[in-house]
Amino acid sequence: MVVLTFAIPLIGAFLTFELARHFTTSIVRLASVVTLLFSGLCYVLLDPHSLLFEHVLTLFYAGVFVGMSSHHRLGRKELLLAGITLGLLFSVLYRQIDLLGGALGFMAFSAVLFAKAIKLMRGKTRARINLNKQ
Amino acid sequence: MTTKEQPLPSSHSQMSAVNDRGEQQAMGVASMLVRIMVITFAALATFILADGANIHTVVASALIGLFGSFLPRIGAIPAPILHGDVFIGSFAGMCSGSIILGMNEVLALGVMAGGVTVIVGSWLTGLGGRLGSIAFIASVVSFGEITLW
Repeated sequence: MVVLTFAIPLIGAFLTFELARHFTTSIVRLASVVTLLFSGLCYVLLDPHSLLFEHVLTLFYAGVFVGMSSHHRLGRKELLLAGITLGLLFSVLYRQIDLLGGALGFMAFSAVLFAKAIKLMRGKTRARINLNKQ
Repeated sequence: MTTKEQPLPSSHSQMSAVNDRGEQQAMGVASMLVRIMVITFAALATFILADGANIHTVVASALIGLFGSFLPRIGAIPAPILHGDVFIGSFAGMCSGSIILGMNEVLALGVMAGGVTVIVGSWLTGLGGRLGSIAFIASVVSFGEITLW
């Protein structure tokens, strides 16, 4: 279950992100189609009334939101970090806010912002190290 | 003849400039109202699918997002913005049926999400989860009192 919590959002994020690179269609349509195809797969492979089904489908949808990021804003490394952060946030936070609409999007956005912040901090640290070397 | 007609185009252009500004302002308000309506309708449709037709909320949201992604441009609003608005509405409509007591609450939530969308504008565009966060803010404003505190 723990592995799934981190792997499923990553699959959703990378699938959407990479498909968005190749297809010039609307990102909303792409995200919806990817989610519907995955949900069809879940309906076939898992019991729709089980907790695992709920868990996997919700995590995947949250991952898809992360993957909806623009290529100009987010690279693959940040996407990986955002996916892992999303898994962590999901396991800590989701039960507190799952009744509210947009909870998945909020967690995805928080994860993306965290990854973006880490990237900025790394860039600044590198710049400082280079300045010290000079 | 042409010298007499020369002032006409300039005055006409001034008038048209004033009209354009007025039209832009009117279009701005009209666009906002259309966007709020689209978001409200998407929220309502998602909630009906999820709560009424007993479809999983994720599937309901994705279905509404898919149908919404075929919306053409309405007036001055480009199609991609409308698609995003439909997605925002569908996220807002993912609220649990245990906290929403009736359709009027879904409508209020949709209007709230529309208002937040208009206020946020194009801030932080391109970051994943932005649309969902807008829906979440609207949900917290509407139902946070019941669920969080």
